[in-house]
Amino acid sequence: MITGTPKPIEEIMEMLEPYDNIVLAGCHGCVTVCRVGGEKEVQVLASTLRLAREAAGRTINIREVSLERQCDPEYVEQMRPYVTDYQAVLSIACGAGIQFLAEKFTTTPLLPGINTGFLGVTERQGEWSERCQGCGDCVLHLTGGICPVTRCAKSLFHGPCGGSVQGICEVDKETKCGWQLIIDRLVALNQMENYGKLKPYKGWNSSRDGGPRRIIREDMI
Amino acid sequence: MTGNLSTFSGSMQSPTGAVMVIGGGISGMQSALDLANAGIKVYLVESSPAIGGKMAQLDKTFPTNDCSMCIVSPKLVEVGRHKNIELFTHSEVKELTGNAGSFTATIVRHARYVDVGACTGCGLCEFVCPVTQLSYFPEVPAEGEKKSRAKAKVKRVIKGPGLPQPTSAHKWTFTVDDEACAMCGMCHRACLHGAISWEKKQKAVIDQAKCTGCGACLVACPEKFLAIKVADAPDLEKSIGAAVYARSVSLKKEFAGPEAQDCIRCGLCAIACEKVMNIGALKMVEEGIEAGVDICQVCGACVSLCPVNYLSIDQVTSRTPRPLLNRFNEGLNGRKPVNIHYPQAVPRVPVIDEKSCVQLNSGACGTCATICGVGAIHYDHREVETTVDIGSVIFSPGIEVFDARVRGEFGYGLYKNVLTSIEFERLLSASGPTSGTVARPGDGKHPQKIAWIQCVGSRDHSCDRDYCSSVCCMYATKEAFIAREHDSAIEPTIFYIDMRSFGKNFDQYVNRAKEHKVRYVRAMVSRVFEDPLTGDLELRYVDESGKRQREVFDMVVLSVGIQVSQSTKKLARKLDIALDRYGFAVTDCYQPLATSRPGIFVSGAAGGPKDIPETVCEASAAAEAASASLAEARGSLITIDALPPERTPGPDDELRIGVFICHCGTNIASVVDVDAVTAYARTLPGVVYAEHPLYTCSQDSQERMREIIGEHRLNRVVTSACSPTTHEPLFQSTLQQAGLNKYFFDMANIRDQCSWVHPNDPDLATEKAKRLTRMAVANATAGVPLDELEFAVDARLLIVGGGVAGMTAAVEAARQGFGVYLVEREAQLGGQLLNLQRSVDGRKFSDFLQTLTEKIAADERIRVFTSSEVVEQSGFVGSFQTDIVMPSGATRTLKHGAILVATGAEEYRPEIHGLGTLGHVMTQTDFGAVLENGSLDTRHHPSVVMLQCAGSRDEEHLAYCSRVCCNHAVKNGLRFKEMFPKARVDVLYRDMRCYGLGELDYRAARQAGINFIRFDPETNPVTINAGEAGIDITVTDPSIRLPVRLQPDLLVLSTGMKSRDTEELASMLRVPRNKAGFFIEAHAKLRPVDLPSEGLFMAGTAHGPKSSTETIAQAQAAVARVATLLSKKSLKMSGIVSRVDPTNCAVCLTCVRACPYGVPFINDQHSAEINPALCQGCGICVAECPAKTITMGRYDDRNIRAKIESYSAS
Repeated sequence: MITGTPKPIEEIMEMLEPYDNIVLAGCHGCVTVCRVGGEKEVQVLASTLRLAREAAGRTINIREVSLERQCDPEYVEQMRPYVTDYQAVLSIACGAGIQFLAEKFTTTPLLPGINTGFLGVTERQGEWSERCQGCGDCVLHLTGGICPVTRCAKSLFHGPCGGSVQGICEVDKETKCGWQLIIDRLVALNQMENYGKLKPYKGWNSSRDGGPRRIIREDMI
Repeated sequence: MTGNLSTFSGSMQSPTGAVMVIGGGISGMQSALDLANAGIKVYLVESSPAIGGKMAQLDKTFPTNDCSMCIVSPKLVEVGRHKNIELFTHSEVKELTGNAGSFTATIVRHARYVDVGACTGCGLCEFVCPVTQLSYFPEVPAEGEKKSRAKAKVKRVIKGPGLPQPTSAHKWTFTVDDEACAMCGMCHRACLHGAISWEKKQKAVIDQAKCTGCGACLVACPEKFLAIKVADAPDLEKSIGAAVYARSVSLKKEFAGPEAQDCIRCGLCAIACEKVMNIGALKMVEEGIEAGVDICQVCGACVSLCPVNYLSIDQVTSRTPRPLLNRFNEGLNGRKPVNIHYPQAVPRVPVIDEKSCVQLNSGACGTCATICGVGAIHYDHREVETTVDIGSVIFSPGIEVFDARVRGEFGYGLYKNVLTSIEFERLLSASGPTSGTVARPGDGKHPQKIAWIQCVGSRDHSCDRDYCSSVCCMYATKEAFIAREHDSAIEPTIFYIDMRSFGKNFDQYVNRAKEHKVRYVRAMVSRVFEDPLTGDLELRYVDESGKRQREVFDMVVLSVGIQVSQSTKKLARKLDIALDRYGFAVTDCYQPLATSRPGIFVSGAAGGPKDIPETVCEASAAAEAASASLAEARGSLITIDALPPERTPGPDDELRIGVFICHCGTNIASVVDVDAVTAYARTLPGVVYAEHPLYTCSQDSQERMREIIGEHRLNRVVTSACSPTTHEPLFQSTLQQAGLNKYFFDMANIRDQCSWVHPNDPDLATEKAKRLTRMAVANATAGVPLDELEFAVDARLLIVGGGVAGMTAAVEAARQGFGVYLVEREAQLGGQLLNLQRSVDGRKFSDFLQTLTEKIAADERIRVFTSSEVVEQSGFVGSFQTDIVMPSGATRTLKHGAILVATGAEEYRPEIHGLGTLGHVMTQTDFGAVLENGSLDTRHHPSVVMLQCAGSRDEEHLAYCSRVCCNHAVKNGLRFKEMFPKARVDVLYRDMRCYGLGELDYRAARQAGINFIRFDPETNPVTINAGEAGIDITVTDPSIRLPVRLQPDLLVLSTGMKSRDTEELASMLRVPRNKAGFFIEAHAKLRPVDLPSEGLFMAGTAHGPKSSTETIAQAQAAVARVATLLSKKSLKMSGIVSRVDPTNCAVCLTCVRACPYGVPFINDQHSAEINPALCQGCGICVAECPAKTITMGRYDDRNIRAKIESYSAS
């Protein structure tokens, strides 16, 4: 799931300074599940903004909407009939959704209401952690199901650096060394031989280093 | 003694399905409710005019500081309105014949002189009644003798600071009836204003211009003529007494003021004395009022009617006035002969006191009957006898407090500022004589230093009260605590012997009190002296260092013990049940509820001193014991509570809202202007009816509400009163009885959230009350009817834990006719009792366990699973499913309707002082076994030291008191002394907590020569060196203030009890445990064996440390509670449950994670689902759902929005 955190209300208020009439758009996808951009957050944020604006002596008109997903054109199109009636759209979907709206509604400014986080998992209610960076070349079968790219602070590919002390990463005391986890797991699985199967180098061109990526599935087109 | 359990276990031939409960206190009420809710008809007999008992008199309750009245009043109302409880108040049991299963009781209802059916409890009679004293009534003339009125021989003129200032306010018009006037001239002579012209042989004429309306003429005109006519007197058409009252009230308003005033010559005193009381002792004279002090009957009417406090009772008579005292308020204020027992009384119907009512004694007055709007007063009532057929009897008449005058050295009864603790409760109570102000009775001053003296009439051989009253340490702590809450300037000091805070969370409470500046002094006060000038009290005591101390206090509260009243003892004789020397009912420790007469069961403090939760627990247990043998007749004598069909609202129905604004006595009305709020409510859209009852929750108000709903065709009801948590169910059931869906109701809390928090701002509080009411009306407008799910009940009980609690419960539940699954982790039934040796009375536990085991084996309704464990649990009250793993490894699913957790506790075995490694260091349990198996070396007399609180009341070990260890030590000590009379036993203790009748053994132990040495871990620690070579102990004995060295052969540690490992079970059942691992009850006071989740109960040491006898009682109590569920064919669930609309569900799991009860799950349709039968209606998921796709009954956005919009509308 794509995770995110709400932007501070002061920051949003500043963004909205030029506007009195906006759409606030939520998304029923990931951001609903991680509790930053669902139906409820739309209502809560809208109320907060109205109150804050009223307290500042100016009112604001907010149209509340929650799309099924902001990353699919069919759903995005549902906003088209009215979007031009408003001065701006504040989206609390992930960065992909916000950009997609901006792309589709070229004359309306798009404002982000959340800070998009990472691809992660729910540790427990209210706590998420990162698991995948989308490098485009998965090796989890060789690393005991633990991703060196994500779990190692330096995305090292062939074992820990010298900053690994008693299983703790030198970057942050709260972070476990990803490579220690991998080796421990491989030992437990009796799969240490996999360590040697890792490619001598990692091709980062399938990752962000190759520029913005696209996926085209010929079988689906 | 013959036990009830074994004598007629299930063999009764067609028993009567009814029980008579004697005593309407918390015990009797709980028994009655448990019985009636399990299909047994109840006759509840209470000697006082209303139920409620001692608990209704208390202000707050320990250790939670809950308001006693607030928690008991829903019970009062439930009893009062229960279809299957027939209330006999102001009644007594005259006779009981027959045998267990089919008794016949004769109940006498004393004459109340007020019709319970007709009375609305308005209290007008009490206001109108002018009498405040017990009169000296003239002797009734003998037959044939002429009744003549006495003439005054001794007269006294009562003068004021100045001469009378005649008033003509609210003046009556007096005229002479020409036809009746006999020209005697008496009126002319009586008139002090020259308003009556008269000459011999001429009729009198009143000059209205000069008349001040004093009525002297009316008083003077001889009875045989009655020529003075009165007009323009409100209420005169009712009676002269009513008219006098009406004018008195009007004048009182006009002349209100605290300072003494001159006589206003309204004449009401003289008119009342002559015309209402038929005495004629008062006469108006130039200087004031002339009283015939020798003929005055001292009724107090003149004083109570005088609008300006001109008269006082000692002035008008030469006799000693005998004021009528309010018994409910412990005599701290006055009452009238016609009197409602207390404001929240059930039934809220007054009783006329035969001794003091003027009408009943002299035939005069009779004002109350003339004023009563419903004609409920009947002076011709006589006592009525009723006979009822019953199967069992529960004896729960309760206790009275010790008469503190017996301990003359404390000056109770002589010194005004020495009170008893129950009097102090009334002083603290908001509905008490001082409305909750702590004031000295002597002078009304606010006391600063208050002393509590413990053990007054407890633990005292000199006045034959050898037992400990069990509750005083805690109630004194509570009173000190609460007194400081009322007035933070108060400095409380408690003088005590041992701090017996032995119950669950009691020590914590005492510690909190210490933090709140309650001072504890371990000393027995020897005497109290009063300073006659100031009323202050000097206490003399010897402190811990042995110095004599004097300390002055403003007020002294005597913590009086509890005792059995003479009338209770008389009743017990009538019922032929055995009492001990103190009057407590004799019971058997294996059958704690059974009295000596089969079929009669005891509960509450009548069986020995105990606090409220234990009483409630015993009450349920007695209900169980009394009904088990009647199980066959269950349901045969009860009426099913049939509700009228619900009116279905049409979509176009006009709104018809009724609003009830409660006074809550003075709780609300003293701050909030309820008249104004009611008037305002009438203006709200949709409101067609509004009124403001004195107590909306009282039974008569509820009856009235029901009638009004019908009469005004209301389709929504709103009450602005107290907390919905306590009172909403009551109001909702009234709606149901009136044929309305109960969710067409809303409640505004204008007490806790308004009048209580804004006492100093009545205007704004009134505005707030209006707003809260407006919001509730808006919410009721938005209300929709909700359905309540009905489902069948599986009449089987699952008991987890096969110790004494589980085994007793299994036997009892089977007797009640329910199927039982008894699951025990170990291979053998018996639990902790297997490790213990003998009961309090010396019988072997092994024999008892064997009897129980045999009973269980013989009963085909009980299925036992030993070496089995619960692994999974699902379902809901009435329909649970539990998987257990059996020794074979196979899983079996049990279906049942209720669960009883009886997982017990075990002995704590800390590794201290060589326990576990040294042979001569052992626990009390080990010691008991050693005494039993004879392994002690009998050649010499071994010396023993017992160390109490070894690992108890210690943050490093068990933080709590284990309750049983002191008694256990005393019991083992006594037994040891019996075996080795010459052996030395020293018990090192912190507080000997031998509560209740345990104190008798403690005394016996001291008499047997057992030496008790007090230590304190901080100020006087014990040093113990235990090794292979021997034991060496040093401690300072405070009684001789010298160090003592002990080298015993054996060191016995009282180690306390710890909970068993129930973490997994608790999370499976979703029930909470406290820090120590004991299960937390649903309500510390009133639901001691219920777990917070519906259908789950607990018994025994799983709840907290307790004795085997207490465990047995609790097991029976739990079965009684189970019976209220399993005896029903079907149950209804609340309509307020969460529902998921799957359309928008994002399957985000938020609800699954947020629910504290673990109810939501993701179904195979990829949506969250909530089982309405399991949902507790807390609303957390509704608030959390990010897709806003969960809704809950009456808490929808629609409702909240309606309230908020209504709030913000101007």
